Amino acid sequence: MALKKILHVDDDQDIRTITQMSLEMVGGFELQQCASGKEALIVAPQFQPDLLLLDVMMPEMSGEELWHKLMEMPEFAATPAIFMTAKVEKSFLTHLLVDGALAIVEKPFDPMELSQQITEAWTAHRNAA
Amino acid sequence: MKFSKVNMIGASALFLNSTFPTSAGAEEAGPDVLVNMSALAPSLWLAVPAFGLCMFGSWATARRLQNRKYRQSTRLLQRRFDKEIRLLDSAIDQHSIVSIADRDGNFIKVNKNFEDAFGYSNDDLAGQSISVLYDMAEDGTDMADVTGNADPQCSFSEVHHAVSSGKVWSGEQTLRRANGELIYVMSTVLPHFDDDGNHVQTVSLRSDITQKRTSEIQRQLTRMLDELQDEVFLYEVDTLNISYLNKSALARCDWTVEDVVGKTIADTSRGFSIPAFRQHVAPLMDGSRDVVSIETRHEKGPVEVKTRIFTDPSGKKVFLSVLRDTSERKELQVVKMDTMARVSHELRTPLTSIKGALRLIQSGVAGKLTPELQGMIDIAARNSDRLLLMVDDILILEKMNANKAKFEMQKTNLKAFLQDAVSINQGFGDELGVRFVMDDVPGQPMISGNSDRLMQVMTNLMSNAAKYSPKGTDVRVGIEDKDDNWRVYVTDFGPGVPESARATIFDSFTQFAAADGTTRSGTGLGLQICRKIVDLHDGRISFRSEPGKQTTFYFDLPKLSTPPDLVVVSTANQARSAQTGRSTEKSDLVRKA
Repeated sequence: MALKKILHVDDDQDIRTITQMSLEMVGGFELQQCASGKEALIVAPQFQPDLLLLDVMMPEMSGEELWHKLMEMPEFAATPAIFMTAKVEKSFLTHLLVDGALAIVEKPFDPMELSQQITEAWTAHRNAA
Repeated sequence: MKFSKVNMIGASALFLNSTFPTSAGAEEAGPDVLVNMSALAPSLWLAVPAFGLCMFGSWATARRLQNRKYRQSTRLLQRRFDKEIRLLDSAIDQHSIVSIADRDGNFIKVNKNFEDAFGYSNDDLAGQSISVLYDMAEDGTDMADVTGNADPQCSFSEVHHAVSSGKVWSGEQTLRRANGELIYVMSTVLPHFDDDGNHVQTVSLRSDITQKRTSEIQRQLTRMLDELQDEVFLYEVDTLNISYLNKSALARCDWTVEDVVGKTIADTSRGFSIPAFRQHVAPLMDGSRDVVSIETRHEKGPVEVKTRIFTDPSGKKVFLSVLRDTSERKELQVVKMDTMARVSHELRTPLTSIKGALRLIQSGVAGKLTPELQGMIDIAARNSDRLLLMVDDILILEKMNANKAKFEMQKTNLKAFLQDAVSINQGFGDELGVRFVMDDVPGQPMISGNSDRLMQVMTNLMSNAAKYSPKGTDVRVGIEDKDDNWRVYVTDFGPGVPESARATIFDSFTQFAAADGTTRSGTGLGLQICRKIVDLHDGRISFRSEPGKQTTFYFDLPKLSTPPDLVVVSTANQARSAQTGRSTEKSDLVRKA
């Protein structure tokens, strides 16, 4: 199955814009964006994403919390997630991978390469499955 | 004239009575003195008129007789006075430091005590101004006036003025010995006037109170030291026996003042190593350093100790160690590091948008650009890259400074590592028209290290070398066998490091114009990061440079003696970041293992 629908959650408007241009214009994905975890929990059931692209550090609900809340819903229990973070400590990142995240994208990311990186992670995940 | 000396007791006679000319009108003073002296010899005084009344012969005879008797008794008296005066003179001479000066304040004579106390001889001082005892600035003004830290009453001009106007001056003075040392004295300075009221001489009586004053100062110092928050340890250089601990030092050791007796400095901490201590203070012993300092751990937490040698008042050489509790500072460092991490993180988020937007514009997906716009966007993109590098460098450096960066050490084959380094950095070299060439490597050089971090060092050194290389030249990298170490080197054939930059080249934000006068781009943190990383590998980084010929930066890492077949080489991850150039941190995806 090819990757099509991505739900992107980030509280930063500008990064949402860059990501949108990157994934829609460069990658050709179908993208739905949310500014908070709360919003994402409402949007996700309607949008039915193939992949979650979550910012780690967000106020109120972190990307990790959101991920766990979504996984509690049967329809998203197996939806893969990729995290984005400006935090560079690798020790902080590894536990997300251990918990099953596909990959972690470090900010700043290259918008011309992001789609490619996501596709690679997706493909590796599909092949492994 | 016989009684003149009596009149002058306490003024000028004393031990030098014979040197004083007696004044012409001295005899007139006689009766006064006799009246004064009547208390000493009342019977004699009454006997004289009784004797005269009893006589009934010639008045003249009687008068003669009386005169003779009178002279006899006067001689008796005088002998007695002389004796008493001599005794008094001698007592004062024995007890006091005495000097006599003329009316202008030039020495005439000093006694033995004076010579002993001040270290001048009579011959040294004859004709000299008494002001040599005072602290005088070169222009002749009193230091006491200039510095204001001495009692103003003590100054030479003050005393001289008082005495010249006929007053007796008395008080404490701080004077100088011939050898320059200070001497504290209690002084009484008396002017001597002739009968016409002319100031002819000045007599000074002094007693040395240096001992009293210094012990007072010492008491004060001790009190002050006790109040210090810093801990003070005084101990003998030879035996390391403790001679003094201040209150906070006692508290660290849980000792009372009595407990200190018989203890050495080695008793102050369980982990105290005397050989290590002797090595630490060696630069003090050979005089190459005035103070040595060390950061270490005591049972009660991290401390910084500064030690110096000084000579105590009894002339004994002692170590003075001042110890400061650094736990608070360490905590601050952690807070600072956290702040830096947070700031860097906060900077990365807006940089993500800036860089992302620029990248999209550059790529043309948002529309075609004119060449002028393209050029300006490139400038913005280049500088946002640079900003990001700096943010990352600060983050890494702070992490390492706070010793938070615990490296995972792995057995690493430096040969494979170096091959990776060349392939990773060749892209950057190509941009600058510089070729990286790897020299033959002897055997299988194994070390224990964190290859990600070491790659950061290599990338730094190699990009520096490339930046400073003329187009079309090679940069050579390789490994040398250096006894217990493997040396990794990067050699370029650029302009070299100028003499003036050599001392500070590994410091923060040091950027220098190379020997050709040109400064290259960079954050100025690269080499400091390199040194930190190498330090954390128990290694050493350095360089040698022949301006205009070649420059080699190298680091030595301790050899690992392990059979090569047991070695895990883990450099796969770095190869992927080859295209990203300088920083191995830049791999955008961290894959699930």
